[in-house]
Amino acid sequence: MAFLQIENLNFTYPNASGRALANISLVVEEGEMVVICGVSGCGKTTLLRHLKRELAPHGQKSGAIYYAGKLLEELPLLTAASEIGFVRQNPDTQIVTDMVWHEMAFGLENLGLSTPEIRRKVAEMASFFGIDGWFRKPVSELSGGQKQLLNLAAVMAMQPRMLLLDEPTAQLDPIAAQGFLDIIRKINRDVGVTVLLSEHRLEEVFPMADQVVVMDEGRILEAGEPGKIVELLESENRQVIYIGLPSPVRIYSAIRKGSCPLTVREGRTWLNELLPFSKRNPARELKKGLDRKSDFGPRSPNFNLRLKPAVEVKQVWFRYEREGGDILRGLSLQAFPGEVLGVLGGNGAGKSTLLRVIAGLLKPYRGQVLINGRKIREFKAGELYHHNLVLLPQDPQALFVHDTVREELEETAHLLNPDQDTFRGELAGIAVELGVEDLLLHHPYDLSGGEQQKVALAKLLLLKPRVILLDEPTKGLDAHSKEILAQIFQNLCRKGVAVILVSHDLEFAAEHADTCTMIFDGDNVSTGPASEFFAGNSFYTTAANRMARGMFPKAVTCKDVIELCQMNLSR
Amino acid sequence: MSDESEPLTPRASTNIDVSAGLKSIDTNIKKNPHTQESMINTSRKTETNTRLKLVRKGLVVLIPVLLIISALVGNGNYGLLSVLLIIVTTVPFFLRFERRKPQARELVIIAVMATLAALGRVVFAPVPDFKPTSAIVIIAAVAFGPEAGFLTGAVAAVASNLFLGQGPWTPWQMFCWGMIGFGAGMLSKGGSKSVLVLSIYGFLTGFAFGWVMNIWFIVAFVQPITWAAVAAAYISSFWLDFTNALSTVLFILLLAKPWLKKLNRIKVKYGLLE
Amino acid sequence: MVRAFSAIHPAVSFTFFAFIIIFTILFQHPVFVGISLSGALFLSWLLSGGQGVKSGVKLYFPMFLLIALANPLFNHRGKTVLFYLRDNPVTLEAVTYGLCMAASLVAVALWFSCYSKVMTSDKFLYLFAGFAPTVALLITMTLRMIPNLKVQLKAVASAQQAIGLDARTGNLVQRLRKSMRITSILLSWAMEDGMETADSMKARGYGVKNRTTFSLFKFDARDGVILAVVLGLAGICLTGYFLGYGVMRFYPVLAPLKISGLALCLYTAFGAYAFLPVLIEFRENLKWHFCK
Repeated sequence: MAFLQIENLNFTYPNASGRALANISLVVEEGEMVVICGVSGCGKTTLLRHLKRELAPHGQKSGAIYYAGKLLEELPLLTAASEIGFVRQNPDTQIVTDMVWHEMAFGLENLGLSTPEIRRKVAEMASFFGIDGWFRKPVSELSGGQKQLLNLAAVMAMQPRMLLLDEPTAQLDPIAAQGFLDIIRKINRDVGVTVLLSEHRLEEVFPMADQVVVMDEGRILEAGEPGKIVELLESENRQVIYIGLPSPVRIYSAIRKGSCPLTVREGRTWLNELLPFSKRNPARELKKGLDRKSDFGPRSPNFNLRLKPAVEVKQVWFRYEREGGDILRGLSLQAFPGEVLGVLGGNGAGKSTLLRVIAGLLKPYRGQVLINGRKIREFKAGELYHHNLVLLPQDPQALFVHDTVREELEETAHLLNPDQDTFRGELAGIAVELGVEDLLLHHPYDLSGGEQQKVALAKLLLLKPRVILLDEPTKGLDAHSKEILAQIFQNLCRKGVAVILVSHDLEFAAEHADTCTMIFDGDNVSTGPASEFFAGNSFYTTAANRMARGMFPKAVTCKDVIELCQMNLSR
Repeated sequence: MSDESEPLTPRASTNIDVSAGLKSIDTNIKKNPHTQESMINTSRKTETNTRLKLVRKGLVVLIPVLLIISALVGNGNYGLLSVLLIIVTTVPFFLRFERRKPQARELVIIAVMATLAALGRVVFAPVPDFKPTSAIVIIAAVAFGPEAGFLTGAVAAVASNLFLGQGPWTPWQMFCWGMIGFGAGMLSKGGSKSVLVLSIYGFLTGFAFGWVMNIWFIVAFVQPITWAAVAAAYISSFWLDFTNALSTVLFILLLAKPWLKKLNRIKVKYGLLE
Repeated sequence: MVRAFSAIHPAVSFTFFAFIIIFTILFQHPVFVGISLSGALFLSWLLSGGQGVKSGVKLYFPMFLLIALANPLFNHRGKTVLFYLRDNPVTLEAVTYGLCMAASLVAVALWFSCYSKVMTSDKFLYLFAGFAPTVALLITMTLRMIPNLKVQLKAVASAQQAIGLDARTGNLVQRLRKSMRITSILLSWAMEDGMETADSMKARGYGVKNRTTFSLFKFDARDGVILAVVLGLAGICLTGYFLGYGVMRFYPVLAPLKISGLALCLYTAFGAYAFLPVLIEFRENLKWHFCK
């Protein structure tokens, strides 16, 4: 019998109509790395929780799970707790104690180990993870990435044989996520721990996997090697699933010639074989770069250059404390109505600070911020945020106060117009526009991350903003939810709203922003139309662009590359 | 009580008499008769190893404490004596909790409520005696029962003092806020959960809190202790106690309804029972 | 900056502080009080430097004066009348007693502030865990949540501000209402997050077995020696106290100061005790000095 064997697992949540898991059968050998993917609500989390007995959800269950030859339920308590490790999305909520060293020891304390044993195991893990430098620090001083590493280290200190990771990098910035995944790879390859990982961001994990499991609506669509998964999925040709796959795989899935590339390097080789020099047509490629965008972006013919900027940041300097270092150093920026402006940059570059300065939450000590041509200081307190400017916080929870989505929206609608009938109508309109009309009776906390994001956005849109500021709106969202979000932005732009989004998500910015600007060290170092911006970068750019570099220099998104390939192939 | 400002700041200056101090300690003992009782009960019910261990631990504390108490009474050192008595009173609550082996969710809930109570105290620290702490402790007790109430109060006191400064007042505050929570829990268990009842309770405990803390102040600073001194201490603390009582009522009126509603939802959603 | 004394095992430093505070309260005797006060002053100078002592003096001197003056003004016991104030006698005994009391209280306060500096939260929790491990865990969790909730509180407040519900504007009622909104949001958020924390505890085997308590503190030979010294000196002082050396008679007339051999021994023992942290510190400083 295999290390982990799931046989015909079915599960229904109490009071739910459909099955959350349906006929799940899966075999995992010891030491394997399994990546589970699928849109939000496809049952990934439910499946992983079933594998961790302590966290198995309540409900109606049938089928069997065998772990190391035994029924999972029959495993001794102690073995179940220590041999199966679980790390989930939010780095902050999983930490129990206030010090790094104590957190690492927490699980071992629970197992009743003696102080010398704990000391040894903790020391071992701290060295393995390279966290000996911050071993004695309070947890509150760590960055998000460090916190998630700590969570992993605390689980690894218990020496598990199987690691269950539920979207562990969803809340991390790309560099921290990369660091986390590197450690996972090390744990899997060098220590031989079996890993089951669910992820939305598949670029990095796909090449690492031995087995990819694609789930949808509680079922396993296909399971197999990452290189074969496209072939396997052929029968189930669904757009929703393909857009979540890594760029090389996505491009391949549209062309389907040769063997499926998994990494950018393999992708480049594959493209070169697909389109030898003689077959390429640079003229088509050039034309392509010009007519890609919507009718409203700054590059479109009907874009009026004399249009006034909705947001104008002029030579802004900011620091938090008088003695502290400058966060923004003479930064200038313009955002126009009907345009999505992507603000990109690394951690600590000042992106979020910039957003808060534009929102009037922080006051620069030098420089000006103009909102629709008016100095931000001249706005009265409430006036700035009504009919004018809104900020979507990173955590939508910070906005939810009521028991149902409807009350949540009604309250905001009420802020602007006390008249019942008008706001009812408006509320219904916005609810339909954002696709939250089915959620109106739910409690905001019972929704998924993507749904919460939409409700928060709906709440803000009821304030009828002309400028929308978004702080990492795609954080933790799956590809499908991102598409929906992008649709919403497009609609807003069509109405002449200016959208400014701060993000680490290059792929999203490349596909959906009109203009991109990169912030570094408190100032913007380059600004330009999205395609030019990314085509001009060599490292800080999309996977598709890196893959097609030298062949189609202006192709930035998967769609670009696919179209260009098809055009060239059809010739 | 001037518990907010870390160093010992006398709130009244006063003088002589012994009997009053003794009386206040007597009443203190009478008020909490379950102290010794529950210790004995514990030793009777020794079924498991852990219980034995806990009782032994309790006795290790109790015996020297009683010895020291007898020595202190002889010399009229009521300051030390009272601190010891307070510690001894709170011990059984902790031991019971230890013995019960609480679930992870119980711990988290108490920790969240204690954090909010402590945070409220730290945030309002600049305004003497105006703080939401008692109100939050009462709400926690109403939502999750007397024991959770006691622990929320006691833990909030220690945790906030780790920021504001520890001192001999820490055990007193643990006792006071713990008891406020315990009392509120008993009250709501008895069926009186209305905001009005809670407000009245909050108002009374606002004063009770000050009065108990006055005992500490008197035994620590007033020497020798006289009736006049005791009266002076209580009169001079009236406005501070009144502020405390009023702030507690205010915060109960503001918080009780929305918070209890939210806590109930959490209880239902996560299947938590008292 | 005190390194050596802060580095000793928490059980030892706790024992030290417990006894010195108890002694300072017990010994109502000018010599003992004087020694204790100077020991406390010296240690707080080492702990917080000149600036710390300055602010300490600002804080404690008025308190000292208040108590030292109040006693002779309100208490007219004692036979040696110094002068009359509005027909009330001010006696030498009452003045001495007042000074002694005031010094003793300030000394206790100073020892407590030193205690707060030396006994950091992890040391306190280590000791507490020895007695009530679950409650100690509860306090640890609370300490973890306080900074976390502070961050969330800020996030909620600015999110609310950015939809025009700034809790710092409007009249009192509006401000209160908006502030309560913020706390309500925070409560829900913290509780929902807390449930994930509980899952994380369960996932790591909480409740499976009797917990042990891990700490980074190690009780080494040096701690043993210091503990022995602390207990030895404390024993001597306590014996002296029970022999009647610790308390001086103030009323009706000041008793003469005892300067017998035994009394001198006792003063020395107590002096050594009160200055123990300072001695430990100086010893280490010397070592570093010569090592270089």
